[in-house]
Amino acid sequence: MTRSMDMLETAIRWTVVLLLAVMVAAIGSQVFARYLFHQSLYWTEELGRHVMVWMIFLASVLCVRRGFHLSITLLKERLKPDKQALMQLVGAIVLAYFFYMMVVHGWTLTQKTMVQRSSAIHYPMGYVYAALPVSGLLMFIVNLEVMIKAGLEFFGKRKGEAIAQPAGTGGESK
Amino acid sequence: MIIAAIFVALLLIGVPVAFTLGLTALAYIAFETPLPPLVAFQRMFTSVDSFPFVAIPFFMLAGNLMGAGGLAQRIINLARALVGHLRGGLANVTVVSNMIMGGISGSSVADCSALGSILIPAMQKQGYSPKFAGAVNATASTMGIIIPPSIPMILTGAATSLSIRDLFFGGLVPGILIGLGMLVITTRISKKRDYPKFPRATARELLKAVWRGLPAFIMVAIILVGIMTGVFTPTEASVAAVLYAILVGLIDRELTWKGFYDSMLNAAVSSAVVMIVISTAGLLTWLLAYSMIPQKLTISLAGVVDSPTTLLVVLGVVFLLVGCVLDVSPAVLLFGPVLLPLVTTVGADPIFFGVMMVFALAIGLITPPVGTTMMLSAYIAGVTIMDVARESVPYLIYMIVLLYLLIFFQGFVLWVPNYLFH
Repeated sequence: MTRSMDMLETAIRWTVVLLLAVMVAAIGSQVFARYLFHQSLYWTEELGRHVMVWMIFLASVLCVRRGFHLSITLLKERLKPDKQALMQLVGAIVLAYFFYMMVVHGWTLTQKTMVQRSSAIHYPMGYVYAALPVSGLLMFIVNLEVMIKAGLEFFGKRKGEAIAQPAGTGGESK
Repeated sequence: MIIAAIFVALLLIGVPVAFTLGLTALAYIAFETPLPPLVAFQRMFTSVDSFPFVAIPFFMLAGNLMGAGGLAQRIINLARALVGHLRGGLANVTVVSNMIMGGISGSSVADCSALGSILIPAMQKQGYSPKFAGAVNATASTMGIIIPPSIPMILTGAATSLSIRDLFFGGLVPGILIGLGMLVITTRISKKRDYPKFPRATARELLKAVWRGLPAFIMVAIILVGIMTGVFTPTEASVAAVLYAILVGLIDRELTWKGFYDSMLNAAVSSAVVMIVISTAGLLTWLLAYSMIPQKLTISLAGVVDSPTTLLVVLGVVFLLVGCVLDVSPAVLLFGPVLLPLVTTVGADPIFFGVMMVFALAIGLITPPVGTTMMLSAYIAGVTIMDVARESVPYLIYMIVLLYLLIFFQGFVLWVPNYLFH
């Protein structure tokens, strides 16, 4: 399980890096066009904005798996490991509900907005809204892994192992 | 009441703040409004689908690239030539490096990790107590969001339609005052504890450090002068900073493919952490507006609080308390739009309100239980959060006193944006 999750994570990492590169290229070319060629490009702001939406929701999947999202840990740190695992488990179950809602309603929104066109480039807004159900589903999946690990640890089947932390994943800037 | 209980319970069991806000909003929609839950996710989307926010990942990326391209080290060397000869040299270097970094990056957490990962171990090696090393870095990095550019001020501006440019430059004087005050306090503490200092830099060494630090100054100039003169919008300035950082890294041949990839990933992940909170906090703010909370608050309080100064004094306390439990980004998004109508009705200056809100919440970065730069510095220094918090007390007192001095003498803050833009 951990291995397939690692592969999923690697794929998401490359995707978010690529999306950020597209953002830099889009807004960068806007700046160049404006100041060097005195032209304003009509598509850059919209593309940069929408690519950013995809980027942050996908990068959020990584944060869910690695526990990078901001949270209050003061109470948790004072508890014994088994109680910590229980809290992790309860938290993951609550999150699973949120991600489930995100998939269901995100999907409805995506379908509804397929007829709506973006204002500058005229692609269906559903392409952008799809970030909600897709990232919701991915977060649901990685959260399942967190849940199973916490559950295993709490019920003492085996020592829960923390998900290994490869270098340069942004953990240092949590 | 149930909704407040859900909010507190979820936070306490360690559900991430972003999703706690989202779940609270879902509960509010279900219990208190006739709205379908679909609206919640639509609002989460529209909260982040905003062009000024594009600057957030870019400012993060510029900061990361500077670290990977060796610029952070140059800033440290320059700071050492400037203030290294003071007692507690390296601690003072930490303060000045954070001031310079503050003019480039808009994120305290980014500065805290970029500089802290170099400076905290260096201080420990020189015999500083790790608690003190952590406290200095944690406190100094609060300047990151007060000295322009500043991500929380972008958020404040976007959420309240105040001018981001005016807010940025309103933070200039308070930020510099924090830095100068910190230098005085650090030197005093270091004298008492007999911390080491560096020999004074010769004119030649100073010149060399300035020359080597020049790329960093050009970066500050691109961002600040670019925005100041209206050549760049804040978003354009952020992308210019990214391109410039890449250029310097390439010319110096310090920027490797791996460093580039890591910087990109790190920036994407750090901005996701901020932006997911923005997305759900934006949803909650929208719900509050839907329920007319800002108007109700204004009507009920505008009669009671009649002087702008009284209001700001009270709000200062509120923000300091809020800053203890909430990170800066969600706090400005929740409180900015809710309080601004009250602020303008009572007659306080809205730009000053925005600046003082960010300032007061920045103090929250070093107050437990939730203080992000405090947590991060404690982690780097290998000590507990409370260790860092205790060592930060002198700085904390100074910052609170400064906050209130500025409330009584608002001219210090406002003359910069007024002089530049009005």
